Formats: sequence, structure tokens, C-alpha cells
Amino acid sequence: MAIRSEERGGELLFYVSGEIDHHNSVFLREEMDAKIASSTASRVVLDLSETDFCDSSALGLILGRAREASVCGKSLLVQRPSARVRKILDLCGAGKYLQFTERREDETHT
Amino acid sequence: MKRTLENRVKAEFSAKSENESLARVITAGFLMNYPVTTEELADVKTAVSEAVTNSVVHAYKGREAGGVRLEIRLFSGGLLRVTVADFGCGIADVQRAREPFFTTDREHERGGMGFSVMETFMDRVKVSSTVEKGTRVTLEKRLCRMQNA
Repeated sequence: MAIRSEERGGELLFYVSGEIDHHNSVFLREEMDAKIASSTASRVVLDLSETDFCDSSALGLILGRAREASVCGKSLLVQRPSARVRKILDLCGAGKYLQFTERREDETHT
Repeated sequence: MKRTLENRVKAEFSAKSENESLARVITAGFLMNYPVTTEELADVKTAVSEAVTNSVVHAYKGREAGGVRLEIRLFSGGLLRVTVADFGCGIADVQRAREPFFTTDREHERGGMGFSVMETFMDRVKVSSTVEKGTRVTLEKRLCRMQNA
């Protein structure tokens, strides 16, 4: 698992590649919360196009970050999750509480 | 039809979160020699990950960390049976633990969806647990390309 982040156009973008499980979600959470709290961006974008595995830990992670973003007055957008990741997020209806986008990296300046 | 055991692997490891990925790798490695679909492989890996995570998070809470035993068996006709067992605190009310959103670990953002995920991705999920003895989860799936094997 690897995470990289950047800030541009009023957005804080996170790119998570590899596997999201219980073990590394703890690290991801800390990493993301610190950046969400200190960023001036109004929107947080979580790009999952390179995430090739996740279990239900990702559910807690993503819903938790959506809440964290909201506490900081920001919105969270989940970008390009694979069908597989989407299936897990939709499993318990969590998809309803999240915003998704299929836009690609070169389309982020919208 | 009497099923015969085609192959099996057994591994035991510490109930540590870094071993969740180990369990997935063992599972994927075992299945690599068989004509499983990518969908089936992902289904089984996800279910194994959930079961092992449950043991890591819950079994040895407040006590000396123990082990998790993963056993994978493949039977004729393509029946895959995976058991994940721990030797920890056990679950007093298994039925309740299996309900969606039930979790005893809110502070770590555990969603309580582990068993729901296992049930979605596997054909059969059986949980047997004895308080102070441990919990065993049995996951079964029929591998579609091996039905005639």
C-alpha cells in the first residue's frame, strides 16, 4: 500500500494504491486526518483507481474520512473506485452516504 | 457424492495485523495452481481477510496474544473450504455478532460488516465459538471451473 497526496485547485487529493486492509488503514487514517485538518482546500478527493484490494476496513476508513472532512467544513469525493471496491462500499448502503466520481486525473481542474 | 480431498495447506501465525496480508497471500498462492476466476480469487481473499481480521482484533483483547490457524482444503468437484480459527475469548452471542453493523470496536472505526462481507462473497459461512476457548469460521465456495474435476 502506498499513499501520495497533493493540493491543487482548491482540492486535497489522495491517491491510495495497493491494498487497504485493517493493518494499513490505521496508518492511512492518521496520514489523511493530519492533512485534512491542516489543508485549506474545500474538497477532499480520494482516488482509488490504483487500489486493487480492500476489505470492510476500507468502509470504516472512507466513512470516517468523510466525517472528518465534514467536521473540517470540507466535502469528500471518492474517485474511480474499481467495481470490486465499489461493491464493498455499497454492501451496507454506505454508498448512499458517499459521493463518487469517475473523472480521471487530467480532469481534476473542473 | 463423496468428495475426496485434492489438496490442503495449514498455516498458523501470530494474531497480528501484519499477518492479515500474509493470510491473503497464502490463500492466493494455494489457488494459483487451479483454474479459478479472478472474481473467485478476489472473493476468497476478501473473506479470508475479514475472518483473520476478526481474530486479530477481537480474540485476544486484554490478554496475551495468541495464534490464528488458517486451513485451506480443496475437494473434488471444486469445493473450497477455508477455516480460520483462533484460541481466544470466543463470542458469547454468535448470531448477534453476525448481524450487519454489530461491532464491539467503535473507536477504531470497525464497521461491523465483516461477516456480511464473508456471506456476500462465499457460498456458505459457518461460525462456531466457545467462550474462553476460541472461534472457528468455516468458509465454503464452489469454484465454477472445477465443477467436473
